[in-house]
Amino acid sequence: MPDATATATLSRTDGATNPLREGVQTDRIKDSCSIVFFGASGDLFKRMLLPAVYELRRRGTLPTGFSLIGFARSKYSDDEFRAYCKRELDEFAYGAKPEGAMWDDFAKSIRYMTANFDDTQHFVALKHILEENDEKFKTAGNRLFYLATPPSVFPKIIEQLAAAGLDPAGNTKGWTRIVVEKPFGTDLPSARALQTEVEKVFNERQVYRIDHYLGKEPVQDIMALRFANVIFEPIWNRNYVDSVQITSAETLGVEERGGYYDNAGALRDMIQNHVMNLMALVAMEPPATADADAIRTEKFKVFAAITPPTLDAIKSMSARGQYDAGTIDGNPVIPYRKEPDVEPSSNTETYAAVKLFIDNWRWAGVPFYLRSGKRLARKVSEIAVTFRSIPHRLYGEKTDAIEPNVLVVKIQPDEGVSLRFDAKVPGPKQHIRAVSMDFNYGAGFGVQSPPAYERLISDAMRGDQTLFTRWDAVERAWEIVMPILQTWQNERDRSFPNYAAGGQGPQSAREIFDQWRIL
Amino acid sequence: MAHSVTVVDVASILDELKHEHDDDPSAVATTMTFLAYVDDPAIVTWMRERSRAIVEKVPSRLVLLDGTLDPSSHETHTIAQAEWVLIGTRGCNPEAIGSIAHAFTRPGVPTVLLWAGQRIADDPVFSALNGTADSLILDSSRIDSGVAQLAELTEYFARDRRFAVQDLAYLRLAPWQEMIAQFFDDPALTEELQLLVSVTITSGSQAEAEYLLGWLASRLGWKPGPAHRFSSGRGQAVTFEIHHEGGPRRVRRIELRSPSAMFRAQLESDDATVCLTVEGANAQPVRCEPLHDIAIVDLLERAILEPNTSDVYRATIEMVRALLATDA
Repeated sequence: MPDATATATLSRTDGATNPLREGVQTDRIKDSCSIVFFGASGDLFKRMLLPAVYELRRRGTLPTGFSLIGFARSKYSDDEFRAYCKRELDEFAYGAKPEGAMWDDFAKSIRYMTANFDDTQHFVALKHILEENDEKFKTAGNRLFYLATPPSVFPKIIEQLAAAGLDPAGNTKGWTRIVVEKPFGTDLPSARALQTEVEKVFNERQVYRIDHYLGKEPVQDIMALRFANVIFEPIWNRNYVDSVQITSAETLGVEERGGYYDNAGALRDMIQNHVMNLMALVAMEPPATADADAIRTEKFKVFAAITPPTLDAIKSMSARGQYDAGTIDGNPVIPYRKEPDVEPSSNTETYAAVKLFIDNWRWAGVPFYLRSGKRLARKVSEIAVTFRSIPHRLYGEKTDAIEPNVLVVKIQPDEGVSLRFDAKVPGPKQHIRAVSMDFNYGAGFGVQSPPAYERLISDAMRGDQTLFTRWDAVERAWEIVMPILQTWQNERDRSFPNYAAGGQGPQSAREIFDQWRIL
Repeated sequence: MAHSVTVVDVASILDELKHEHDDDPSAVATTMTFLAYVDDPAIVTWMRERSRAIVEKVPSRLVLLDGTLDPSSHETHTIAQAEWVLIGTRGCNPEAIGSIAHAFTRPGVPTVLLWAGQRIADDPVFSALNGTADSLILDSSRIDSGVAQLAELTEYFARDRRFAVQDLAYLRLAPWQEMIAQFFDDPALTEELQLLVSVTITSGSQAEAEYLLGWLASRLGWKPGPAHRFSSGRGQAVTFEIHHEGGPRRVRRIELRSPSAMFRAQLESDDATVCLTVEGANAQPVRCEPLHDIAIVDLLERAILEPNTSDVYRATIEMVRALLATDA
């Protein structure tokens, strides 16, 4: 059955004719469905996805008809997989632990298939399980396929879904959607190749490309800050904004992901997706509606207006770094090249900084500085909008530095907003000093935001694509970073390692911008 | 810090608050004035704790008017981004209490009145305070397990609708309403709503049971009649029973019957899970749901953040008034 639009996807359990529904507040997902996790024996499933689904169950958000099917190579029976889920939830559940009637009820809806992704018959068997579940758990023929496997297997799974009749065209009872984990490709050609495979089976409304950063509450707050207030939008343009800095800095190294990361690097891992998505939210025009497509169209327009750097300009518009040994929080840490599964002579960047311009009426000439790195001085994700300096100095002693206003949207830690402005120091003299007005979401609303995966999985089940990335934006983001990616791949950086762990990043980043905010 | 003055000195208390801010510069945002009144010694501590929990979550100025303390007693604190002021009002005349409340109201933000007085309609302090507030929060099943305060509220509501009213006794039914609605989401079962012949509710307090019954009856267009009966839209009799069992303010079970089906939502012994059973026509496997019994502070927060009286609540309370009149 086609999945026409999110809002039009009302199932047989939409409650539209149930008079008791009026005015009853519920977060419950209306459409009953089965969710199939490919790669259910992996790390992502046990640490992030399973705890998110269980918490949705515990909060009463899952639909009334629901089943979860694990599909992976590891050998488990249904009962063994349920026991595995319980063990992992005991460790990773962030709400209540699995116990009592709640867990028993949830466990009943869990099934598992030991499977080989190359064997079509295993997908045919999956189809039978799904049909059984439609009867047993009233899941109404609705299916959400979640690709939590290594990306190299994505095309094969998609192909097998179609071969087994599990594609949307083969589902006459309900909807079929697919969630694709990041990264969507490793460069422009591989992303296009993957999209070609996806398009053979799914249309764009059935595809949910996850960038879990977009599920974080503070990221969603960016739009509310801009479009629920009248005071920012009039000055949100080239006439008042001097520059925008977007930072995603970590103190962590590559941890157990050395093998993956050494083939990826900061530009692929963070800038092309997370950081550029933040940039789109900051720079986009107000959408006509809060509808997913309206928002995603405006985000795409931002990327469309960015001219990818020319090969000549790459050195002046980008910088890369790789961490050396250093000290984080008082503890010594090893250099990147000595991390497990990392090539001892690796040329992979653990820090990337890029300067981009958006060539449109609103932002022409305003530089957007994007940076992301590992093993930096502080864990911080933020967007800093620096406004132009005042045109005429009326106040302040000559020795006073009159700082420009800066609006900082803090994504983590300490989610909030702060505004720096200048104020007169009390006293007879006209001293001016920069002060900060801070708003903290935690203190302001006293509630903890749900983890990103909880929000994203429930949105996919609801059919809301707002927080998922549309293909045109993914493709355009790859087009923008490709010249840098190719140059960095082709030219070894002989200065690597070029920044000490626990520091501010490489000196070369200062050459594209000398006013990075201190981490 | 606690101070003693001989009369309520509004200016000096405000001055103290200002100094508290000097000591705690994080107190920067205010979203409302939260006016709380209590005159029952049995719940003063309860009110202090709950009101403190609220201002820890919602940046606001809380003014707790304590009818059990002399006007010579007051306290001021800043907590997180909020201000907390306690003022004794014992012996103060109602006009003076209203005036004190007004003096502490922050201009430009809504004022929410949390009323924990023993009476509503005939209480002159309530009348004095409601001129200051934009919305009213109370808990009609707080004082006892009967319906005295609920009956007063229904009468008050019928007379004066200026206030937006939120009754915690009704708000705490939200999970039950959601679960009852679930029974009938399936179109194959929706029709059963029109065929119901009996409703049985088991609850520790009468107010919650009356609200649940009033909600069902108003949603389904039933008309109250004598001898514990409704008349459905089809003219069919629907009987109801309310059983008292369990702790106060806790619904334990609701059972709906049609000629061919039985729908039951029952709180399990863990007090945290409700199991839903459908027997008879279109029988379904038993399904258990988290109750999400809402903590009082969360209920208060919901009442604060959603101050408008909904049409569904309006219809419910009118039905409850009719039901109570029938009972009387």
